[in-house]
Amino acid sequence: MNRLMGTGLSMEIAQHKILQETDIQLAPGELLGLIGPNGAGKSTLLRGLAGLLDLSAGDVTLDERDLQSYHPDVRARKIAYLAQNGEAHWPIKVQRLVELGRTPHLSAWQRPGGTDEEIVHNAMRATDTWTLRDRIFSTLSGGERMRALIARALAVEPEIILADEPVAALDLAHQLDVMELLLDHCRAGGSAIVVLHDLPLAAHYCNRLQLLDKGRTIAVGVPSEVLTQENLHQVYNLVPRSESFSSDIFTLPWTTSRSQGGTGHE
Amino acid sequence: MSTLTAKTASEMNQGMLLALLGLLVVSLVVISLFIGSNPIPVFQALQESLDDTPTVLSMILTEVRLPRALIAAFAGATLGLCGAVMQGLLRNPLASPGLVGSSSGAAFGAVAVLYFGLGTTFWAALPLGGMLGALGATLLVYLLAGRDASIVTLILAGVAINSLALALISLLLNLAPSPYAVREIVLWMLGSVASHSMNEFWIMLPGVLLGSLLVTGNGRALNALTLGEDTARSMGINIVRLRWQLFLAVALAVGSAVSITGAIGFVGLVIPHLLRPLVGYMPGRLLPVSALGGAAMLLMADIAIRLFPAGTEIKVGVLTALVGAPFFLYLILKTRRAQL
Repeated sequence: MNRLMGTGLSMEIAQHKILQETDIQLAPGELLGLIGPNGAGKSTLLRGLAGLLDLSAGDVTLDERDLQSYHPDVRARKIAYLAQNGEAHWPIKVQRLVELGRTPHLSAWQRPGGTDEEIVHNAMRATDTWTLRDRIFSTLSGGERMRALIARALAVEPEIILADEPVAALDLAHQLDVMELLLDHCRAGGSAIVVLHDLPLAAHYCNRLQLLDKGRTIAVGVPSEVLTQENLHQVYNLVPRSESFSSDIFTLPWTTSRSQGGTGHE
Repeated sequence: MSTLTAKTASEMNQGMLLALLGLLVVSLVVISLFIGSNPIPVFQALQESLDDTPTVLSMILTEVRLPRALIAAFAGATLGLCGAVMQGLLRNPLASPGLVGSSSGAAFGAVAVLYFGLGTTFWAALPLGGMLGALGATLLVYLLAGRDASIVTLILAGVAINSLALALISLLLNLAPSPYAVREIVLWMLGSVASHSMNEFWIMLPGVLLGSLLVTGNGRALNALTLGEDTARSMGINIVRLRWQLFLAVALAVGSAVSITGAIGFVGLVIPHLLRPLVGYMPGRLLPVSALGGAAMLLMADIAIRLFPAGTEIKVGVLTALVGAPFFLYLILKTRRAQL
């Protein structure tokens, strides 16, 4: 059974076809990577799945029910969306920012209670942001900011996380950090779709990849099936440097010390 | 690290802050009752006002000083609240009812009503004119600047619409039938809470209350909006409904307040800005705090002008502009420095 499913999703803005009849499925526990060149329609697809766009055509279902039929609060409790270049418009503390993740669980007059505090605390522990709780979000480094934003998404306690380029502009170690966090979420029974540009990173962490180009799905499947010589040539116009090309080369030669049982690199 | 924590050290407990500001507003209202061009025994006046037969003293208290204090408190609260609403909605510390055209639009609407003499035909004509003007001007600025407007675009759109509203007001002044009517309109435009009766307070009240009612409960949405529109929507916030509801609220409240008091500038800009650090920069928590702060500021300004020894009483709008304009400049300079 698929958690989140999109069928025939199309998006057209001013006669420009951004997304053309794209299908997508996300199974429980799965980390799905959306890859493809700039302008391939990855962000549009993700926003469509998050219910943030009025798609020109197609249906999105969540647990086999039309996404539009959910009350916005209910939908918001199930799907967390991590925007590209996430920012805070006011100089708020990190803990406040993470607390905003509880928004869909609270009514207009309700203030966060004991359970909410505990959930926020856990999300911040999981992302190593608890020590940053009194810092102003805008003063954090790029890696710290992304971890805080992920903590915000985790505080929603969502079933599904949709992340738009969460590792853009992060150094290598922080890229691995973020991917580990998303993987942790999926191992704990959640699932996630993540837009990525780094192919080795995508191949290493994602259960499945979906390759988009010009609004269409070119290939979908396990990384070795998707990252073939033919597909990479067709989409990115890349040619292998050596004769001995195989998708095995998309493995990462390193991992975080935390995932090796270490104490973390920071 | 020390500078980072120092920035939030001034954050206060919300309940305590509201209680303190509430106390300040109540004290200022009481002080305001004691101050006037002629000293009157306030307690005696209060006692006499409870009797059936009105006396001069009780008339001064209930028909001059009480409406003045109440109008100052409610108009100030409106401006403070609406400033906080606009800044939260547009996620921009330079937004205010004055900047985004609500105030000048309301002024034009009210002047039009005065000019065409509709004010005497129907009691709600003046606030309705103000509301329509405020709504029209705010919408125009909003459409001109676009949704995710930068500070510059927003200010430029605001300048354009404010100039347009002022030009239209000037046109009406130009066409005014008598110099007396011109003087009336100009004095009204300077912004004042004096020389009003309880009648005008009651005319102002419904719009102010309705606007405030539309704002309440939206603090959560404004908080979520801190993370941008997409993230807020992904957390279940209906941005489109929020935007319309808040624009309508500002138009109703500012429109009816301005139609009585005239355009009183800078309260809506300065107050949210000063109080924001005390609520940890959370736009939702700022709303009630800013309303009380606005009431306190206008009451204080109105008390100050009565204590000022001058032959003619200075209009309160003139005083807030004199204090507010340099503050606005300081804000722009600070924003520019932050962008460098």
